[in-house]
Amino acid sequence: MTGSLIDFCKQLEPTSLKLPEPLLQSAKDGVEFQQHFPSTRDEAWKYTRLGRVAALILTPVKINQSPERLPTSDTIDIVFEKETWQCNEPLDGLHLKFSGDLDADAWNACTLHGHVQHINALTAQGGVAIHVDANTILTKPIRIIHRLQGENTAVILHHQLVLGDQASAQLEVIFEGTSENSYANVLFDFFIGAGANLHTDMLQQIKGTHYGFHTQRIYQQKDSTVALQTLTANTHFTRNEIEVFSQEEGTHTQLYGAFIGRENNHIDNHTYVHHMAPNCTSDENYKGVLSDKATGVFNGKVKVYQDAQKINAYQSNKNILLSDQATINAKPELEIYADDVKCSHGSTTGQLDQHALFFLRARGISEAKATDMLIKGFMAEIAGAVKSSHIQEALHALLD
Amino acid sequence: MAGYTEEQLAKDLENSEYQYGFVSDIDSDVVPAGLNESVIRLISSKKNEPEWLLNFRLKAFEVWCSMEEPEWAHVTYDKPDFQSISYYAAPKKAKKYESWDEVDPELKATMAKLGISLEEQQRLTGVAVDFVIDSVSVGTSFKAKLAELGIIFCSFSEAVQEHPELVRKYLGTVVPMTDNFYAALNAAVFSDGSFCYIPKGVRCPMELSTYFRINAGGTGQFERTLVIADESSYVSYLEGCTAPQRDENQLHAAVVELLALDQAEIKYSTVQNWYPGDKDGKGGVFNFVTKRGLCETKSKISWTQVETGSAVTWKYPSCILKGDHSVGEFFSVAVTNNRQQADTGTKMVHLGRHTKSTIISKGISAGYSQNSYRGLVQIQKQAEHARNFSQCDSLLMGSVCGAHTFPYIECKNPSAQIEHEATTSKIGEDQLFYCQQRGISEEKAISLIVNGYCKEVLNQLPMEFAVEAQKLLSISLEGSVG
Repeated sequence: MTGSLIDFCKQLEPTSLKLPEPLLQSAKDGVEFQQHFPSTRDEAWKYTRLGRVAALILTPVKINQSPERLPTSDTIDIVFEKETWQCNEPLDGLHLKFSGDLDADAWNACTLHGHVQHINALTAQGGVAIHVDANTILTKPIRIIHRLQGENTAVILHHQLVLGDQASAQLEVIFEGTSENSYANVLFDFFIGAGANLHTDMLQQIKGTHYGFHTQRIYQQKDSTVALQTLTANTHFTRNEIEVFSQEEGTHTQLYGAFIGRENNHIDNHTYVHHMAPNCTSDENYKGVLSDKATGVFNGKVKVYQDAQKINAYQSNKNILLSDQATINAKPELEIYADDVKCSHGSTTGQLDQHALFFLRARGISEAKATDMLIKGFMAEIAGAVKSSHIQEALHALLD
Repeated sequence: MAGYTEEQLAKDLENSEYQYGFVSDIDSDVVPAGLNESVIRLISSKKNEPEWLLNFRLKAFEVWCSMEEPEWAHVTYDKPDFQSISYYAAPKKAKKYESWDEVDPELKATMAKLGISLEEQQRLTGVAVDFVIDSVSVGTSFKAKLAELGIIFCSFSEAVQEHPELVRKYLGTVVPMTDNFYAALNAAVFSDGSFCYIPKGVRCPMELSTYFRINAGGTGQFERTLVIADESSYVSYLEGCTAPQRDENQLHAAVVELLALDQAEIKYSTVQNWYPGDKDGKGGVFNFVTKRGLCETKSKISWTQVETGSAVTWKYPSCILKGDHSVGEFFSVAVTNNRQQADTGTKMVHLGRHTKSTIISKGISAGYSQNSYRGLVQIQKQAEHARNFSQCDSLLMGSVCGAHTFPYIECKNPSAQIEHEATTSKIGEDQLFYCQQRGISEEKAISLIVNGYCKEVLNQLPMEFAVEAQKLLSISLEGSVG
């Protein structure tokens, strides 16, 4: 079938996922309530217009598992390409499944919040469910590659990663390819067990007039650690939503992000950290470089619940504008209901330091080269947090 | 702060129930409750207004009818029923005074209780006061002296009669009636307020002050202040507010417009102490105010506010930095206790080149209160080399209150430099320990630390206000420790 997103919401039911009925109902109500698409009067969409997305005529991509396995390599590969997904041989303690095969109980712990998640719940066409047994330390990183192509396609996926207690894993998520007038809505649920440790690097780099919506929901249990790096470069339209639920004591969350926008790119980063339990820390650092007519949006929220004492939350957002036409809209928010906390945020916007540029040029370095050097230096903090060598190389290539 | 000793503080803390909660028995002229076109016509005719002003009101009413009450603020309250409020209440004999001696003694006593007796003010401090009770101005002091310099400082209705050309030219230029729900409501029903005009090149020799008080029950206060500082002039303007203690919620929806023409400077200070409601959040004033200033070339507007009262506050004194090299400043201390809610902050809109703005906001929340900072810094395309610095700190006292920060930063020019920082914490245990170790009681230590925390803002206030503000701070926070 072909149609607009709203047509899918009405006609694709039930989705290929077995979501529990209350969850589906709340998604339906949500879509109805916002009259299908939120406008810029909606606080969460103040700086991002969805008119073009609403007007897209799309064909949803049905996903099936390919019977063939990928050759073994240094990484556990999971590749989504065209209408199939395939993977190579998993390790001991690691289980891969099609997320459509999970039963409804597997989704019980989910919460739904906002337009992107509602659309996903109603129209998801599958995804991968990764399960890591308790006390397993994966020796190879898991790499999920989304290769998007074609015109007027809608790729709507819902992935799930369950990390057992004391388990440890490294994940790379890559979005690449060229795609015109297309839509992607990819959602990850991360369930992190007690004492578990997850490191995720994500790279979004899709060419063409592609509208990408990415959601990461992270549910953290006692003493778990999560680090998530999100890099978005030169994409036509990207909206990232990260929600962290720190549900038990002693968690640490690190959210780093870099966004590089050119031409008329629109890159929107929303993060929302819920500190629901005491003695937790979170550290957020987002950096953006915008040139040409690009627009960047950063909205970081930290909410500290009433009984969540001894929270240490930090949030930083720094932006560089390289052209007269570039725009940045930043909104770092704190919502705090407990008193014994240390929460702070900082946000700066400016251009490259003229003195630093002069210093380099006085030493015979061209202006273009000097600019590149300074931007590389600016991004070094984020690049340094990325573990995946593949993504690090891609980032260096972008900044050169 | 020289004359204010610890003993006095202790005394103040003892009777720290809302001390302005009395009702003055002044005969009021109250219009029946409800809002419709005929009420607006009635207000207008009572004030003997010219037709253009009536049309302005009717237009605003039409706009207001098509608007909805805003929901975005981080506050919850029962929406006022706009049909059960009386939109006009004036002390009956208001218009008759020829000189100060003829003023109703009851009214004089009210002022004395508020500590702003006009006589005393005239004699001792040299502050010119315009006293507005239930939104009608009842007395302005020092008029003659100001008139010598060409300064016009009078009630709004007087200005409408005597200087209609100025009022007509500037009314609604900074805050248009379509701006927001409460600004439209105010434009339709405002009953009085203060008007001030400083001519070219004049430096106003004394502080101008307005004191607002809601007195009659079941009324709303809708005053309108218009301050125009002509080229190269300077004025410092103070505003104070109190209301009687009542179980019902009273509505206060004021509009303040400031105009700083080329190279002028306006300093606007507010100490807001409307009745905040009792410990359980019963009663109190809803304070929904629109304040905005327009800066022309090389001019400066500085807002300083100390907010301790009101059950719900919704207030964003803003600056439109239109002229090149203009400067906007915002200094704020907002204290909430018990069940109070405040959503306050500022907007700095940079339009001109080389414009500068500074925002210093200090929030203190105690008890069950919610205190939010909401601010916008907007750099437009043509605002080359704009500069902004914002700092908003929140202090939490007690484990059931909330402190929130919602800054909006919108930048469309690469040469702009914007910095924003915010922190939230409680009073350091080490600081408290240090004080207590030196024999200072916990309560006093906290008062000391809080005053130090607010010093940056309090220093911006004129002397008399700074003392009052400091007292208010201690009183508002009394009993919130432990």
